Amino acid sequence: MSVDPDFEQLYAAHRQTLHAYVLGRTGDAELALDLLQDVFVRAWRNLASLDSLPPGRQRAWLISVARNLVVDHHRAQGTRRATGLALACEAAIGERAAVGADAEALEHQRLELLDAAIWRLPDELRSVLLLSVLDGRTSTEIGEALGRPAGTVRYQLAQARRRLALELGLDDVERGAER
Amino acid sequence: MTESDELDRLLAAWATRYRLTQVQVASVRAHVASSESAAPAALDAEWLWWLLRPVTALVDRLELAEPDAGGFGLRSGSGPQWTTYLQLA
Repeated sequence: MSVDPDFEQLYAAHRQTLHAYVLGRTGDAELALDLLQDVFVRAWRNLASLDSLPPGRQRAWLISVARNLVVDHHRAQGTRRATGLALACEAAIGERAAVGADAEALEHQRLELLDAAIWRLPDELRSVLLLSVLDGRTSTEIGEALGRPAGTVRYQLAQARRRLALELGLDDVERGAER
Repeated sequence: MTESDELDRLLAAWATRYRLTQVQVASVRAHVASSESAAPAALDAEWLWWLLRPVTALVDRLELAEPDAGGFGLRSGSGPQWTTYLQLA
């Protein structure tokens, strides 16, 4: 199936960012994909207008569409899936704690702990963290996309890392975040 | 390795679970392409006229049957706007 080359360019440039954002805001991998589709359907319908914008403005437009879709979804649902996901992760950790203390199991356990801790973060911190970790965006780029000062993004990233470090018992990071 | 590096390493490992895969990328693209083919490309005046035709046909029929009956606001045969329009024509 052929897709407009302009759309391909737009899609390639922004899909990871949009995915990181909606995943961060919803805490639900499946829902994030559905919302990602909806965002790009709207992008397709507004391709002529979007095409004339510089990449930073395009990203901001797409993020604002994604934000509205997430808000609509939360309004419709009334409950937050992230909480359920975090609880499921905690249950998995409980099961795996008995597996054994070999290196692989320990690594797996730490990743599960980190996973649960990430989904427990407030939406605002999680979305910033995921844009940094999943998409490799700088604080300035995240700030432009979300309409926040880069300093605020840096502070939120530090907050997110501090919370994760605390849950993982990495005290050094916590002290570093305070500096 | 500092504990900050350890957190970075764990976050990088965690990210591999959630980053978009090529299959997901292709799936979203296909969905967008199929949505596009079902949607109207732009406002088409001919299509809009065709859509409204049952309503306009009803108005035409009433006008032909009772040309002086009025009942359609400004198109009353005795109203000043209608008279002016006829004079200009």
